[in-house]
Amino acid sequence: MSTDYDKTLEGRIFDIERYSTHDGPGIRTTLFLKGCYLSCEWCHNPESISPHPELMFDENKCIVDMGCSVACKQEALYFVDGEGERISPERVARFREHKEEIGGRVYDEEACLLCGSCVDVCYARALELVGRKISVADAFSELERDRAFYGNSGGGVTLSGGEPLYQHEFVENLLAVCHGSGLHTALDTTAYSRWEVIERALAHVDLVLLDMKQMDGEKHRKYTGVDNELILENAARIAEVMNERHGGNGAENEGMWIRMPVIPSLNDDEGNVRETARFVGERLTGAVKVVELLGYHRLGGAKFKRMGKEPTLAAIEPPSKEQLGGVREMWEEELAGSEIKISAR
Amino acid sequence: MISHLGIQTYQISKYFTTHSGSLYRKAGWKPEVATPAELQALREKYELVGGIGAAQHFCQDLAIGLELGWSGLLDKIAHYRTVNPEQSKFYDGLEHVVKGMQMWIGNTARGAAEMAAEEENPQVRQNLEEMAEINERLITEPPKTFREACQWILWYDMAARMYNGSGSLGRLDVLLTPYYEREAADGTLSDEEATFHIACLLVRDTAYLQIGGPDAEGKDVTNRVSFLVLEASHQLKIPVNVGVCVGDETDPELLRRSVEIIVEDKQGVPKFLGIDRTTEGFARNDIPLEVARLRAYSGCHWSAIPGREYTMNDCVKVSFGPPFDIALREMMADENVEPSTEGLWSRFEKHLGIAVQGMKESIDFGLKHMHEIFPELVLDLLCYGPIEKGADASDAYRGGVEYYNLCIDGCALATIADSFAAIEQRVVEEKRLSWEELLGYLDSDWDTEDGELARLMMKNIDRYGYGGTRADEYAGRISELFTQQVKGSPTPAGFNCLPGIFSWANTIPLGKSLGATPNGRHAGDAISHGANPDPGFRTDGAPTAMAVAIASVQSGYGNTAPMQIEMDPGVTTDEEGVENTANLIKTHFDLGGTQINLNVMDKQKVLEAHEDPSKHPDLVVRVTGFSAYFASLSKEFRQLVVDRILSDN
Repeated sequence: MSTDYDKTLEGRIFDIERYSTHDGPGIRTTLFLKGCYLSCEWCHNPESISPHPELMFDENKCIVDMGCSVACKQEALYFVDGEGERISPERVARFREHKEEIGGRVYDEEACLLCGSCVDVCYARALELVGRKISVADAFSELERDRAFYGNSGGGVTLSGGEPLYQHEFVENLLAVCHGSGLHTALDTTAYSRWEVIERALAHVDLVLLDMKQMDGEKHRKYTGVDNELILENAARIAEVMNERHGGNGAENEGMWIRMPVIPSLNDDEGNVRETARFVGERLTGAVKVVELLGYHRLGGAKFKRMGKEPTLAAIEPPSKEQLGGVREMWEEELAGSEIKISAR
Repeated sequence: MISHLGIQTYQISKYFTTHSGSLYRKAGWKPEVATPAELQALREKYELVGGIGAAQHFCQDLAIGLELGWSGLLDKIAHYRTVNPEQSKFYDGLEHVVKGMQMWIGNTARGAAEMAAEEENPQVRQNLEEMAEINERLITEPPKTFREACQWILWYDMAARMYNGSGSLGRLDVLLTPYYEREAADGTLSDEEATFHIACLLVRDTAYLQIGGPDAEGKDVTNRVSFLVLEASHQLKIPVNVGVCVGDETDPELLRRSVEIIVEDKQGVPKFLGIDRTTEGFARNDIPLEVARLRAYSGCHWSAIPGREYTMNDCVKVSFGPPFDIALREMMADENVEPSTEGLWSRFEKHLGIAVQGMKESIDFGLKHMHEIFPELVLDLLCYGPIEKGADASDAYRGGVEYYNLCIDGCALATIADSFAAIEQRVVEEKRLSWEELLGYLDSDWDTEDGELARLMMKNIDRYGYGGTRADEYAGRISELFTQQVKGSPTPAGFNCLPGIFSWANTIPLGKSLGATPNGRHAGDAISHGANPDPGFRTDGAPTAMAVAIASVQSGYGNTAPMQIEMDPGVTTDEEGVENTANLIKTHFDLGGTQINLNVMDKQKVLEAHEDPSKHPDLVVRVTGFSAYFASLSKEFRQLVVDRILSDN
């Protein structure tokens, strides 16, 4: 079965996280793909949005060796002296001796070819070219490493991002290979894709992890960049597929898990919460096993800095325990009588 | 609350603490018995640790004492004295131990009686009267009740501790079960009381013990007492060295409850033992499975067959550092040879072989004389053989006990595996620096103009632990090579040696004497810890990556290469977290792992305590094979623990 698929196809990923315990059941490995159709204001993986490689810089690790500026032939990355003048390669040695005279660092994104020459000589690992290419075969071999742990814990592999279906050909093939080899597969998706793409992927997916952010279309567009009509439609169709597959009696690790990011003042009002819960209870009934309420956090803040950007939504505080508890109560009320497990963290 | 186990015990024992910072008597060595000059030179060259002057580090069988009592032991000594009259001095020594213990117990009994006579509080008086009565009886008789058994065990272990820091509790759940079952059946012992007695024992003696695991026939012994021991340790929240068996046949509830406790208490207690792997491995030494199954966890990272096996466990260390350094310099000094990683490897192989052989000769030498210099005496009393033959347990040549399997642990695995890999990648393939330049950086301890950059370049490669890297491959090769060299031939005198990977506290001194290494390590810095990858080997710090890596470097002959792992409490508090942790543990063993030392610790708390230990005086952490109060550790040791935490993400 899996040999029908193209293992040489390449995808662009930005991380592979082993011992992932928050992206589906059991112990998992999560593969994060680059590229997303949405750009949610609360996104804590800002490097996931663009499908292209990006240069990230951690100033805490930088030892100001300036080897990167010497390696860069495009003059896209360089340091300046106190007068703002570029420190050319010829002058680097002198400023290495007098680091206190360095004025700052400049990154000209336009000029950057993303060739990675600077990263190659950054031994302090302050520079990182996020978004490497990997073949289906190589990705599978990495995902396989923890196979023994999946078996014992009811875990498996999760494809996430970004929006994994942004690279649907790669993802479809990788899912097929994983699934065909006996691994439990989970797809963490926004469901903002053509239905045909989703349907093809679903054939090799045991569990869909679906975010539900905002029921109001206008607000959804305002906060994520896109309308939610397609998402809601696809959600219902995914539920249909899963129900047909399992007759509404799937195990907890099959079907759908709904995840609601709880962003104070953006989507945690009673109206939205209840409407979301009702949608799940009525339109996705039978297929949904678990609802996870995920309190907004700012742990991605450092990543924005490393990308040279300001964190979005810096002003919003993560929800308190009470706030999260309140949201959970509303869900429990709306889903009273169902067997859906609701958790909050 | 007065412990029922002896006021005088406390008064005497408070002068003797065990483990780090210990004041118990060290065996030492007689200067007149000089190590042969050639061997000494070799030991110094390769910085061999131990093998000569090793004391204890094997396990006695408390069952002998529980059956005979002190008088029974005296009778046994008296009888065999007539069989081996030429060993009278040895029997004198044994007798002195027993008679000394009887005096001590007697004094305590009388002291308790005196205190009882003057005690006004009726509860305390009753306790003192019971103590007096029990201990009066235990001067001569074997224990009859659960409480008496705990008392007897404690007296024995106090003696062993004070003598030379020895004494393990062995399979406590097996030892105490006959008493428990009898008294639980006739209603004279509640679980609460049993837990209390165990706690009173453990608070006095945090010795190593094993719960669960197979009996000789392979049946899991996990019983009610196993859980009561866990409960006692849970209530105490002190550094008790409980080892919990995890195996295909072991009650899974034991693992689950242990994980709950370690997550809740955050004391690094208990430890987890890959009992199937260690048993299978040990049996590969041509030891019948029924015997192999009896090996009991009784030390940091080790087991021994109670009463029947002498091991020098944890006392013998061969660091991979000196053979590597010597090999590198020898190759660089040879003008007729073009430096290469293959050349470096073959010289490393040669020098490691010489070091291991030197260690074997050291062991033979140690075994020859130890019984004359510092016989085990206290442990001898509860072994099969020493009394019967008049031969100390350490007297391998006369065979005091039945089995001699001498431990030789390797250290600095990650340091050297990463060093090989860094050279291969940066020097050979990428040609970013030459061999000569590398040597220059090492000699100057990276302290040249671009030294720090070079150091970072060598350090930041894909390291051992990441998974699928060349450093992972080298780690496997080094472990395989070491295993083959240790196990491949016995010592010259014919004794079997067992390889393992463990550095214990030697991580620090072995690092102090080692120069800078190509993995970016500074001269004098600690070497890598046991079989662990060096911290920071993956940005996700994945426990599964570590578990897979360490499972692949096991020697496979019964001695361990433990995995030391730190987990943030946030990862593990809910039911799912407990299950995931239990699965991580079980799977590591499925893959070949032998032991797990797990710390569930509050990063913040540890960092604060490192700044100012007085802030969290009761913080307990798992250091290497043992748990300890963080505040009691030396600054260097605390730094080791902190480095491991800081490097995760």
